[in-house]
Amino acid sequence: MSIELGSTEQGEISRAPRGKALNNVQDQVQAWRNADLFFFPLISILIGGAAVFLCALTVGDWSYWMDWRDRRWWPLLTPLLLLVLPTVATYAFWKYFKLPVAATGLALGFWLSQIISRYVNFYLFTAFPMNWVMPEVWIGAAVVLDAVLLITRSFALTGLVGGFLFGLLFSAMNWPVVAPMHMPVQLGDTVMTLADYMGFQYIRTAMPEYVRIIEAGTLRTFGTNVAPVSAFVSGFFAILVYYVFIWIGSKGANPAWLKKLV
Amino acid sequence: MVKFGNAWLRRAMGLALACVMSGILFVPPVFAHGEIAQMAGIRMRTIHWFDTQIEPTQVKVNDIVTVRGKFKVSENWPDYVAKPEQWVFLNIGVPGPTFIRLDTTINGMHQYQSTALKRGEFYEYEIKLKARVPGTWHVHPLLNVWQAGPLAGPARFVQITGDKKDFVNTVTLLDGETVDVEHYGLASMWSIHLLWVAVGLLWVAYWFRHLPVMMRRYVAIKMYGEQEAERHLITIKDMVVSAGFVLGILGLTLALMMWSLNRYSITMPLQTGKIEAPVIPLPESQQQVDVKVQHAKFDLPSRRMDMALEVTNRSAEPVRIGQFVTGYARFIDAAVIKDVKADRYDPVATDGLHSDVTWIQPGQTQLVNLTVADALWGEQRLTDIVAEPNLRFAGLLFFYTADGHRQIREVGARMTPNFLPGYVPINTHGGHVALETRDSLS
Repeated sequence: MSIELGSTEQGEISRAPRGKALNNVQDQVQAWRNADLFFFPLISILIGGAAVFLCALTVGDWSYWMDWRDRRWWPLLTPLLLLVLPTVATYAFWKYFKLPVAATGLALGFWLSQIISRYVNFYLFTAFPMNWVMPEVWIGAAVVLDAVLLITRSFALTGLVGGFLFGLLFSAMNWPVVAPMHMPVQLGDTVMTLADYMGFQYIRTAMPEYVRIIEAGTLRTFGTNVAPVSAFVSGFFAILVYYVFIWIGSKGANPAWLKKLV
Repeated sequence: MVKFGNAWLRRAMGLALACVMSGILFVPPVFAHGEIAQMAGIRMRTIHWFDTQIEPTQVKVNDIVTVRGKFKVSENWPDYVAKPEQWVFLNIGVPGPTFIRLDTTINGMHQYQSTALKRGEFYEYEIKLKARVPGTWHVHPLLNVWQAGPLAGPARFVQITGDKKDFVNTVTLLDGETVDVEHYGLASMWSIHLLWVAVGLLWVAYWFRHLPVMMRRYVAIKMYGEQEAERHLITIKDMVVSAGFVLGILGLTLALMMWSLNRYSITMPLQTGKIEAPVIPLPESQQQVDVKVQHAKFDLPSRRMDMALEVTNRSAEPVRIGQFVTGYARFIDAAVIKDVKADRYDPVATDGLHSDVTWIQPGQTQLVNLTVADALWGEQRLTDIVAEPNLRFAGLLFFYTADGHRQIREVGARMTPNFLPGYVPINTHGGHVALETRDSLS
């Protein structure tokens, strides 16, 4: 590749004087480095933070509380909605930079925002135990999505393989986090999971027990193997979500509409 | 200096800003839940709470607070509110988990999940709480009714002293291990989260290992086009590393799954269900007094309701009316029973009920003019009943025998509101209604 930018990896590079324009290639390189160090974390945290709002509006209680994370709806719904913004950002990062980092960056930004939100809002401010409001983690699934894009260099194939794996892996990646909450406890004559037990103990005035959507649905033909089936279904739907939001990303990343506005 | 707008505009904006800031900075603290903001008709015609006890009201962290009492599910349940025969959950109205709930019973049956209630029946409940977060908290019994929302009962302020760090909550799992509920599994949760964060950072670090990255690639794509740039920007090494990440992540996921299946070998799915609260014969269920409402009027200016009742006493003892409860506000006839405010927020009018008939003899049917008059109507915002889509009221009438035994009957009917001065109360006897001559209303 014939893009030579001088000594980009060589020792000290003097900075341009404050208030002065870029004077040489070294200044240019330094500005570009600063752009990397500033913009990528910023975009990750901003869009990741926006994804936290999206998650709050769409997934909501499935994400907040351990006693909502059932085998049926949580692994089906959550990854589909978490996939939306990373997919849109993926298009822009791939088109303009050929960088397979958008999903991972957003997942990291999402994780940071989500952890801060849970710790401050749920643990410090409203005093819920942290183990009961621990958020989901999907960074690994996001890396897989990015890596598959890099390997295939195709949105179509990435949707098919990466999107499917994103939906499929979510449940498996999060089971080790939620498993302690599924240990059985006996309360009086009722046996329940530790998550249910905490749901009874840690009072949520506006959330009665019946409002949870637990095992509601018609999936009754695979015995008790509900979670794997939900994960597969989520994987299939994730393919569709990926394609739809790549298309939306292609429209959003096109500066033509911005030019019309300005 | 650049100035924005003209002087008046700047002043107006300054004033607006000051108003907003004062609104933010000088908001008084809120201690209760806004329970009286709920529609008066719903409070008066859904759950009739009575005999509510919340004690003790001064506790330390880890101490037990008991909320107990009774309620009747109204026979006059509004048609526009979802019915309690579907899904109900007996809850507690507190500001978050300042207490934990240890146990709940309705008519003696444990209620850890949802339940259902029957209209017209009496229920007795008890909720045991354990103090957790120091502070002064407003504690209500509360019934969540599916699609109807929370129906709060009367509240007391409970003060918790001590340190939250001293709070203890352990449970023995079904496998025999006794664990600290608030920290169980937390270390492994954090470890797994941080492990995935490390994987993500490793992936990002790989791509950003030689800065600058983004602009250099952007320029390359601009200069050579997407196809050509892609061929050079993505190397074999990148492909191998990416494949390694995919395989590594699949392996890590599998390893963590195996670890969790081994560490938490006995797990079960989330549990849900409904246990219908049993109906048992409570003393209040005995119905030996019949009441029919002939007329009811509500006078808004004087905060007064008049009822013309036809009362038949089928019991063996004379009875008289001593209390009317609606929307958990208690209106007491001081000549019959003594009641005191549990605290200054307790919704009780200790002399707010008057009847023109004292004793109703056994076997007798008597016309009774009952007057329920007190500022409590307004304090509890029950006066809003006159502005609701269905001008009906309901409440519990308490009849007392000479030795203090009581019978409770629900009354409910249409009522006619009066908005203007010159109110003429109901009088079925041709004479003055008992309260008409009272100084307080003159």
